[in-house]
Amino acid sequence: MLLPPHPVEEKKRSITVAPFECAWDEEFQFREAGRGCIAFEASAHNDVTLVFREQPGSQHYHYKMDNSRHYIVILGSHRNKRLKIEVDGKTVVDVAGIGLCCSSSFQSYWISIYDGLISIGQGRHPNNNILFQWLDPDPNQNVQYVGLSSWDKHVGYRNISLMPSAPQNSILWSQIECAYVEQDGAGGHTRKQESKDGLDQRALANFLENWDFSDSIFVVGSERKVVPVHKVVLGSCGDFPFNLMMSRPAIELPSVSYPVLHSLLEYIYTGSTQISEWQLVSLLELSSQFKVKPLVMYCEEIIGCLKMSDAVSESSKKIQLSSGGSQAHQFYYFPFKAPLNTQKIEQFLVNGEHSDVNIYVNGHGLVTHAHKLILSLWSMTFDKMFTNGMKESSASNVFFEDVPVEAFFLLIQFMYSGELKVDIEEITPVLVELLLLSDQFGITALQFECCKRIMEFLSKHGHMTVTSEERVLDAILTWCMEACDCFNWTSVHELLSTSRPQKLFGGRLTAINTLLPFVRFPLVQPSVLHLMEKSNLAKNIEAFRQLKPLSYLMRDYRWQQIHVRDFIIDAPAIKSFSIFRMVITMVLSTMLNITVTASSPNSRYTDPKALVSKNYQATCFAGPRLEDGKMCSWWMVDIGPDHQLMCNYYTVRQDGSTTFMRSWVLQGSMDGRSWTNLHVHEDDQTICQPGQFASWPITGPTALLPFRFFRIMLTAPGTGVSNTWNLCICFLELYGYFR
Amino acid sequence: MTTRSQIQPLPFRRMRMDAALAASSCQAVTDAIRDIYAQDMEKLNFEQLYRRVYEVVLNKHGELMYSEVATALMAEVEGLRTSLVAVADDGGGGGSFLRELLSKWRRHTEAVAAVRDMVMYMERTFVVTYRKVSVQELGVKLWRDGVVCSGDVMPRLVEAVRRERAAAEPGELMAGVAEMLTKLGDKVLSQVMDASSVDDYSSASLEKSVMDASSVDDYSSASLEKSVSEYQ
Repeated sequence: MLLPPHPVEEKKRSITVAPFECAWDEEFQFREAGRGCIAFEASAHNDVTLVFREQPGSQHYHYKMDNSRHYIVILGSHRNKRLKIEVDGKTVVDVAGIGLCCSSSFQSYWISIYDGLISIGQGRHPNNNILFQWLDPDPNQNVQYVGLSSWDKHVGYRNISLMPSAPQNSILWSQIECAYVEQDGAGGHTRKQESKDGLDQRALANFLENWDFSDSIFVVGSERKVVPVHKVVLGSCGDFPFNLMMSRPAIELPSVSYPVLHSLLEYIYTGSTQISEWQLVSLLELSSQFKVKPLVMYCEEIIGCLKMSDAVSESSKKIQLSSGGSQAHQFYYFPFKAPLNTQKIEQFLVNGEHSDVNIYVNGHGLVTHAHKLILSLWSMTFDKMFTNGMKESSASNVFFEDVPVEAFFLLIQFMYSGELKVDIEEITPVLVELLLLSDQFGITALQFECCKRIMEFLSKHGHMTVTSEERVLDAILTWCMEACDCFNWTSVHELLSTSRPQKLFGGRLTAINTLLPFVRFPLVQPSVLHLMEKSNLAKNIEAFRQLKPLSYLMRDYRWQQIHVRDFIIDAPAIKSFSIFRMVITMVLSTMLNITVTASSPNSRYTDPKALVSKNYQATCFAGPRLEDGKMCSWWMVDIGPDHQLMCNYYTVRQDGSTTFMRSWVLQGSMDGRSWTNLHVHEDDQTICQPGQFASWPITGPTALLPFRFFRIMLTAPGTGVSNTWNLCICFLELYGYFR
Repeated sequence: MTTRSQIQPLPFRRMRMDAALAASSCQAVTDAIRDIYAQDMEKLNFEQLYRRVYEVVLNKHGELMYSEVATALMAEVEGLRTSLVAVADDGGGGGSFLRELLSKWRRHTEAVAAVRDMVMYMERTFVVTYRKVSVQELGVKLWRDGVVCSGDVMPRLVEAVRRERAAAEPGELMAGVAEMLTKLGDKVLSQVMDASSVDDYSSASLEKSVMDASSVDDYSSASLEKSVSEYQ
């Protein structure tokens, strides 16, 4: 009854770790130190232990003896009762009952580390089904290697994949999350109540004795009760000889009672059923008549048991029959569960048997013969298309326009097999198309699968992940040099000490001028910017010099990223970067509707408009007010309900006064009530001139949190003799990723 | 490792939609809404309409699409109200008025369901992201504010319900009205009930029919179960 193992997964290795040992591998490595995600399946009695270190350890590595810095995550510590996280040997998290591991079967987990933010979750898809999250106050940015370890029992690991750890608010995952429809993994016998409004995606159980898409019937019992069924479902788990002579293919079963047939169908559609003991024999007969093998075996087994206990009677005790659901969690999104034979269902796509709809793509012709039922199980769009009464509901030919054929066929194939049949090395463009298609038709599981593949692909090809603007610069230089390997800008800097740019870049020298403005230098670390400014790049490349005031950027520069920028340009090498950036990080827009408020009432000197204008104001301040008995003064910026900013840099300008702020905070908020500190300044002496500009980066995980409101607030009086509670700034600017 | 050869340029379609194209797509959708209300759905092409909505929303014209759909629904509801008001009072207890009201309500809910299917992509993305009122709720709201609570329907409804309640047993018609009012929310329900109350007996019988109607409703029964379990 068990399905054969997933062929794609099969390729991935499985490891059994002996007690007090640890498995390391070059493959178990984050591409970027301090940031990464590992997804795996584990089977153990207790203590599924993962070690995160800067360097790989030995086979007999034990974390209790480790002196270097590391993180330990233990799922099912204390005899499978607790979740533990240790940092450098010290227990920092010890909570009961989370993320336990059950011995009998493999369970999927993922652990993501992002600048000290450790997230642990269940399932195959990172950032979904999160169990626990903990932020290291002193992030270890160096962890890179993952060790799979154990305690006193063997631990089995398999399907281990490493991915870049996207920040949680990454558009890639978050958009899907809200649309994700939780399918009941148990495939239980309780029929999911069909929502009255028809808003829920239907499961196979919803089609049990349902006329929708039904293409054949049973006529059962002496009362000739008509029961609608679907050939594609029955055909995938047995042999049902329908009489095709009738107007609607039918099987007449005059001698079978309806409850027995109902049991059979319920077993097929939902994976489990109940039946009275005395009807068991009839069910056995019926299921062997139609060769529903799992049920035959099951019935025989139970009858055998009953005979042994000598209890075959006419009792009406209900017996529960259910197919093994042990693999259910592995295919938790897969609508076809045992006893349905997935190979047969795949076969139906190939040979078009029982097909009731022909799928055409305009400009290409027939794509495939398909089954409305199967398409509907995956996508509510298809379900509605076939049922809501428009043209397609009665047509047997359905035409699609504006869809890429190759990806569209993969989409249909996925619906029949639950697998993505693409070779990951070759086919990324199709993967992106498929991602878009799965969004168009609302197939969440496929969206996840595509995202996962793209992440894996990017993880394998580290140079394709845009982890910083420096990498974009590297890519531009590489492309312009027509080089085969990815060049670092520092190596180009060295090359330029001996070579002329004309020689180095040849015909693509002019392309540099076009491409360089696409690098968002403001996001580069100031120290690196200084290096760049002094490098041979700036000396030899005209365009680079024009970008200059590089260090000036840090002081006063209208940073460009608040303007719409077209990421898609015509240079192929850059294109792939741009797509990734577009898909993953951000979409910019100018449609800003900023509201600024101050802690004191607006006045001639407290003018919100002045704060966001570029003009210098000699006197511009927010006066103090009492809040909860405490003195405070602040400027607050609201970028509107439709936008959020992940702020990673900010600039203020002192007005003409000498009341300099010394202790203040920059805070962000989603609702304007609860605030998160982004940057805390305590006795910061940076500002010491009237009219001075000053900028600070926002580092750490808070730079990745999107906010709608930002405020800059004095926490202690500033310098000077009078009005020290005035927040005397005349200009505030925030930079970061905007959406 | 010659990984470089594996990076392929993406033939990414530059999907940019100008305002005119977006507007014409919106026009097609609003035309479809008119056809849906005219119960002329057979000729509509679901794939085409769904794709138009998808493209418009994808190209950041979601707001336009949403407001166009809302406007079209409002116009259709207004049309239904006009034809409802035009129904002559038969003098025989307002039965024909209630029947007409219910048939229009049914037509409206079916149409809203069909519209929702058509704009499903917008519902799934734009409506969620921008915390808009879903089309389903919008349909209920429009019916409540635009028809039931409007000045020329409410008095007749109250009058008809009062006569209906004065009659001995609440019939099928009354059950239908009660079901509709339950969907429209407690405020309208109590407004109609209070205004039309005759005496204790029949108000109890209306409440009964309301209970019957609400137990059909998934949401109410769930909340009822919840309150029962809380009570225990």
